[in-house]
Amino acid sequence: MNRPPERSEDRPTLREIFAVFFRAGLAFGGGVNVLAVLHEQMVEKRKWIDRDDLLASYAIGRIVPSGTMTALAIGYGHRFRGALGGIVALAALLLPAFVTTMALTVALANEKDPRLLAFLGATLLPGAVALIARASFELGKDVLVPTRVGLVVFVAFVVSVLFHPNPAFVLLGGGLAGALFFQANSKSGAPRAGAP
Amino acid sequence: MTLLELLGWVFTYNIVTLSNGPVMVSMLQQTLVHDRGAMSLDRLLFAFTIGRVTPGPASSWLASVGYLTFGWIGALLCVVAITVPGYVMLPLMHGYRRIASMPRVGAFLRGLVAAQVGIIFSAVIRLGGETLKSASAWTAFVVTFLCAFMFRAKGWKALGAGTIAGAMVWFFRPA
Repeated sequence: MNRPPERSEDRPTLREIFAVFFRAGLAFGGGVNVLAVLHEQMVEKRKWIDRDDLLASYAIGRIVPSGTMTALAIGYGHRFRGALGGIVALAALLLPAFVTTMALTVALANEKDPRLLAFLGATLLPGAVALIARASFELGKDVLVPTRVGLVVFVAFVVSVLFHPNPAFVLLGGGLAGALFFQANSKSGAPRAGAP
Repeated sequence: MTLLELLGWVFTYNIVTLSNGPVMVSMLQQTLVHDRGAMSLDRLLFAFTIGRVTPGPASSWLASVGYLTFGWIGALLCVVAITVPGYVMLPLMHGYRRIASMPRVGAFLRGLVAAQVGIIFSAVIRLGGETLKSASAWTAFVVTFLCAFMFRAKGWKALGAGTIAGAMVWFFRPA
C-alpha cells in the first residue's frame, strides 16, 4: 500500500481530512455511496492515494468488526496524521449521521399522539421489516443449497426458531463449524461478510 | 438492564455480526425486547428505520437505540461502542497479506455469515408475525420488499414507496 509522504507539509492537513470525511458522511444510501465520495475526493481530486489502495483498504474494512466506512476513516486518518488524524476523520464521518439520527429520534421519543404512532406502526415499520427480509434474501440466495454451508444456515435457523438462544452463541457456533468443516480455500456458496 | 449491559450487548453483537444492521436487529430484538424488556419492538424498528433514511454509515441507528434506552449518554456511548472496534483496522492494514492467506480465517468467516443467514431468516418470521397485522401493514411490506428486491431501489426510496402505499390503504380502510 502507499506510504504517506515523508514531509509533514505534503500530508493532508487535519482540516482537509475533516472536510473530505465530512463530505463523505453526507452521502445517502449507505457505505457504497460513502465509498464513492471517498474515491472521488481522495483518489481523483486530491490524489492522496491510488484506486488500488482504496479498494484494498475497503476489502480489509469488510472484515473489521465495525462499520466498513468507520474502519476506513480510522485507517486513513491515522495514516495521514496519526492518532489525531484518525479521530478527526472518524468524527467528521459520523457527525452528519449522528445529528440527523438524534433529531429524528428525539422527535420520535417525544411523540405522544397514539394515532400517529399507530399509523407509523402500520406503514413505516412493516417497511423496515421488508428491508430486513430483503437483506435475508440477498445474504441467503447463494447458500440455500445442499452443501455444508447450507447445513449451517439450516441448523442456525432451526435453533433460533425453536430455542431463541443468545444469537452471539449461534454465530460463534457457525464460525467454529466453518473453521472445522468447511474447505479452507473454497469460495462456493459463500455470501459476503458484514456490511459497508 | 443497566447502561453497561446495553453497551456490552451492542459492542458484542456489532463485532460478531461485522456491523450488519439487519442481523443486529434480529439479535437485539431477542435480547433487548424479548429477554430484558429494555425497549419495545416498535421502538427498535423505528431506530433501525431512522438509520436507513439518514446520511452516512448505516450503523448510526445504534445511537438511536442508546438514546431510547438511556438518553444522550446512551446515544454517545453506543456510538463509541460500535466505532472502537474499528481500530483493529490499524494492525490489519499492516498485516493484511499474512491474514488474508490464513485459510481457516476465511472458513471461519464463511461459517459466521452462514449462521447470520439462519438467524436473520428466523428473525424475519418473528418480526413479520409481530408487525404484519393489518392490510396496510401487508401493503407497506410487500411494496417495500418489491421495490428493494426486484427494482433494486435504495433503502429510503423503497421505504418511502412502501409507506405511501400502506398509507393509502390505511386512509381508505373501513371505519
